Amino acid sequence: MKISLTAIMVDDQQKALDFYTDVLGFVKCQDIPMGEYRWISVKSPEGGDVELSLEPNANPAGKTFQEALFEQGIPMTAFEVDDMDAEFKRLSDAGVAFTTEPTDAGPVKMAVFADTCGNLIQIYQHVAS
Amino acid sequence: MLRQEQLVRLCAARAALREIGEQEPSIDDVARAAALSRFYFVRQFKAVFGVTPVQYRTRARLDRAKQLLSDSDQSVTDICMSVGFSSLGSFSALFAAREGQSPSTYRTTTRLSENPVAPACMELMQAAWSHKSQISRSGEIPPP
Repeated sequence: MKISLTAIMVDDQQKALDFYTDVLGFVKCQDIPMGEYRWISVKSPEGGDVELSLEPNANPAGKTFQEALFEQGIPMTAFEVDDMDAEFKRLSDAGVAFTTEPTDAGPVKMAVFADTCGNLIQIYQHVAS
Repeated sequence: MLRQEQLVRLCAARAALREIGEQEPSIDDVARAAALSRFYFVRQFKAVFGVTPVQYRTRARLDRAKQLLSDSDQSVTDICMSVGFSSLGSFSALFAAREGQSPSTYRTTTRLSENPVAPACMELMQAAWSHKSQISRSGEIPPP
């Protein structure tokens, strides 16, 4: 058994695809129209086999959960970066709104930003001990 | 940097913008409640939610219209007016641009659907892969 797929709820799939590819830099894997919705997934261009599905938050149960986490300032998921300061500058320059600036947190350095689709996302860098 | 209290205020603003009807607050009212100037409110809202407050409210109107088309027997014109549009033409054009079909077609399709509940991730994946395998077997694109 291995983990090759995970998902994040988004309030607008096209807006999410634009943000996750054009701003974050992921690449599109799947984009299959399914009536009112689409099956969309992206992955990192830096390697790894895990796909991230951009799931519509149209199901009220999911939307309630997503909005509650967001309002409490809790990230929905986390992505690893190699150079936190460079990513923070790149994303800030692109207009991304951060709720936590790069902060030392023991073995990692972390920051949190809004993905424009209803989620807070944490990015973290492992710090050499 | 967005502080936690600002995030909470923006969430409250987002909820207020979903209020559709005669009592709906103006954008200025919502900005004031968020304790921000209109200019700064619009800029922060866009940075956090990816759309302007006006775009968000328009989407909320269309979402409400979709719900009424699906769940009620009101006429398309009544729904158009009740969600805050003054012109049936602009409502239908916006609806079609966003949903890819007219309001009346949306009503028909939704009511014929076997699964009217919005899908969760794994249901969507299963349907998409099944759809994809049909394409590869037949070489033609079947309806979703």
